[in-house]
Amino acid sequence: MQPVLEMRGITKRFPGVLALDNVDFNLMHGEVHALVGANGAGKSTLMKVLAGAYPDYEGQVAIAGRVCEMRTPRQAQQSGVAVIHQEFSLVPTLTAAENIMLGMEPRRSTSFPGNMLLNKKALAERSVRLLGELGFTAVDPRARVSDLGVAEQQLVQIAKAIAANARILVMDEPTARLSRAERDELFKVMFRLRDAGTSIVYISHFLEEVFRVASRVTVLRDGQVVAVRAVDELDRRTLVHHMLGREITAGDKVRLEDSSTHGRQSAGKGEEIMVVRGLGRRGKFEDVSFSLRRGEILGIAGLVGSGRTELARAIFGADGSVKTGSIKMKGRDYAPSNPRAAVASGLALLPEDRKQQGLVLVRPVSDNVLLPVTATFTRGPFLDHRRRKQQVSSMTTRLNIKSASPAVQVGTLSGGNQQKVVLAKWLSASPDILILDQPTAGVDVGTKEEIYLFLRQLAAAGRALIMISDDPEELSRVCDRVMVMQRGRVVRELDGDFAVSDVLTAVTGDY
Amino acid sequence: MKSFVRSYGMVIILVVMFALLYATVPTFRNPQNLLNLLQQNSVNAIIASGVTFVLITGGIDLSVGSTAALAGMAGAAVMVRHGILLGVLAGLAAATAAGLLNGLLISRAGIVPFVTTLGVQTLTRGILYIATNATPIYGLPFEYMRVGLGNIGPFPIATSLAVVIAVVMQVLLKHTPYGQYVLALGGNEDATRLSGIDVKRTKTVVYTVTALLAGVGGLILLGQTNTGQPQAAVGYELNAIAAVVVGGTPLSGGQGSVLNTIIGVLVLGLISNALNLMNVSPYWQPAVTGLIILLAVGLDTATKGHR
Ligand SMILES: Nc1ncnc2c1ncn2[C@@H]1O[C@H](COP(=O)(O)OP(=O)(O)OP(=O)(O)O)[C@@H](O)[C@H]1O
Ligand SMILES: [Mg+2]
Repeated sequence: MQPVLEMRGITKRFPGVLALDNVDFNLMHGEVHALVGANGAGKSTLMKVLAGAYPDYEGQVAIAGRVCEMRTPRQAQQSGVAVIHQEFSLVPTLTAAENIMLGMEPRRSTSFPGNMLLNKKALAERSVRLLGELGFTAVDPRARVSDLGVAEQQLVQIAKAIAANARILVMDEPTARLSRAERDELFKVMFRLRDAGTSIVYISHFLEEVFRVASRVTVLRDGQVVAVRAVDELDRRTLVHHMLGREITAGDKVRLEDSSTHGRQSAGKGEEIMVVRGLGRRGKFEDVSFSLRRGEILGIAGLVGSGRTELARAIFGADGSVKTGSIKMKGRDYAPSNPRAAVASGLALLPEDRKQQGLVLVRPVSDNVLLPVTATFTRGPFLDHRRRKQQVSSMTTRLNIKSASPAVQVGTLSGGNQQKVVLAKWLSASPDILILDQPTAGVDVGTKEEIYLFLRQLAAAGRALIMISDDPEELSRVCDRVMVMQRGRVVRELDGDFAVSDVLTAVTGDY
Repeated sequence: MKSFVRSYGMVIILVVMFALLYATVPTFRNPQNLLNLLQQNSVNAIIASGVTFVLITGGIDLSVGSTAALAGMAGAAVMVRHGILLGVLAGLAAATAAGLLNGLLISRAGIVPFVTTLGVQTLTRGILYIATNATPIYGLPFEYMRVGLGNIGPFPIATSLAVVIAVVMQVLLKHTPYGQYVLALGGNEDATRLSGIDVKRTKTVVYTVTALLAGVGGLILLGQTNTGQPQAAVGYELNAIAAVVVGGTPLSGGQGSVLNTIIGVLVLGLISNALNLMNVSPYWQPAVTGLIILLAVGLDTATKGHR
């Protein structure tokens, strides 16, 4: 059978980087084909070539046997390709509905002058219908995209690509910011599209998803194809080996080597560093109480819209002072009215939206990593360039950050590597209390293990951590306790020996 | 290759232009002309050094010309009665106050820089006209002319000042935490704020320092004419912005360098000097300058690849 899509000998260079090196990729009719590889392997670049984002690629792209030029996004669209990009490509000032229909707005009539006028009613109806069909009820079609959280933005992005009715649908890490429930909705939609004959390229760092949705896998490593297999022929271990070129041990609780003194056991031993009582912010979360000790990692689980991010931001003073409830830190009243005050008291927040809130994309990797600690790496009034350099190189090695050099703009890094820079930034600061909002979104399996270890080490060194995550496995493996939130309230707390399934049921349970 | 052109494009253009003029126009080679060239561009270099910071934050400052005039007028008014030193201090103080007003309106009241500085510009000029009835201030101490036209060794005082200021500003930008904050907030204000940095104060300082430098420029202009003119330095804000842009600092913020701005100042200065020497009608000047701005920005965009 002839493939719907055949990419042959694709090569793409960036200054200092050979992102794709003679890559072959093909996609069958009605197939879900997974594309996997470590951060920076070239997955997004290959799909951007297909989307017409890089006019200077080498090699050939054929759609249904016909060679097509993919030099502009328009050419790609006309060839029936739609892409859900890893990084958002939405217009923040437009509403969700307007974004979904962008470029396909219904007109008043088909002839002049009606075809010059927007049919706003039809536009609203169509996007509402589409969101309904997709089961994405969390999204308000009239809300401005800039007011939506990242998960909702992701859903809008997906809806937009599906509205294009493409033959070939590329999904670049669509689930990196979704919780299980939305993920399941998405898979249902994918299967429906596949059965209707759409061919899907699926990129994800959640390998269990690959086994669940895909029939074939292509593995990229350092810009080259290292394996193309049917999913049935593979197990997780071999797949990881193809991706990383080495084995990793994953699955158990993350503990440090010297587990007798650190890790889980230390929970409850450290002094109480933060006590939150009855904290609330109208319409976001209410009556949240918990305490945090040095040496422990407290997880927060919940669905999108459960108020976790707002809670984290409130503790960090990101949206101004909180009126309801109280926080005590190290025994003293703590009410930050801005992030500066929070940082001065020894807090840090790793925000969920790396592009808008985590990174200065036009600045170099090095400056981003050092931004919160700029004032400490100095000699007299001047920056201490030597020590800065050392710190950056130790963080980039530690977290396996792949970039041509620390001097390149963060915006040119692959998505997962950008996320690692956000992590490096706050791990350098090493605050007393570190709040992490989806710290491993888009990070590959190998580096995730490294990050978990790093977090446990921070805890063992007497810091306290709060980790918000949508990944139950991550929460159960890394955290000492997990607090579950629903609709702005804490509904349960898991402590002691809990497993992935406990987290899963707790998140979706009825209380 | 492309990145080479992007980094050094303007330097190359500057060197080539200089070499061409040096080889072909005899009056250009004249040392007096070269010193004039430096002298004439010093004020723009000083003002543009500050404006570079403003553009790096993603803002704009349309009030530097009026601030220069304010400094000159305040300086002149005090100088005629109380002497040079107090006059200079008064000029700098007035300029700083105008900059502080800009900074506070922008960072605390949240009014966008374009509107704020347009307002302050118009307000300042208005106040100058009202306060003086649009008449110049004469009778400044004669020695004050040295500030505008005198030399230290072979170099004009104004040029020496410009060099010192540019170097200080470049070091401030690239080698101090403050400079890092300016660059970071220009690239992404929210991410910078969430990194625990006081973006409001950083911005306020940027506009205040820029105004202070505009004040220095205004006081040099005062020394050149030795007359306080309420309509001095009209249009200087655009000269400064042009120099910054020709130097290659993007208006989108987060990137830039004072050295590039100085190169921009020299490129524009060299062109106007050359047109002068070659007896081209002054009416041609703006058109040529405009063309250079478009070429410089075009070159920059083209070497940044597609889009
Ligand atoms: N615009 C760009 N400029 C320079 N280098 C780039 C650019 N885009 C990507 N690269 C480089 O190309 C390589 C491949 O990046 P790509 O985004 O395709 O990785 P990826 O497989 O999608 O990784 P991730 O899992 O982190 O999303 C990386 O080394 C990256 O730094
Ligand atoms: Mg990617």
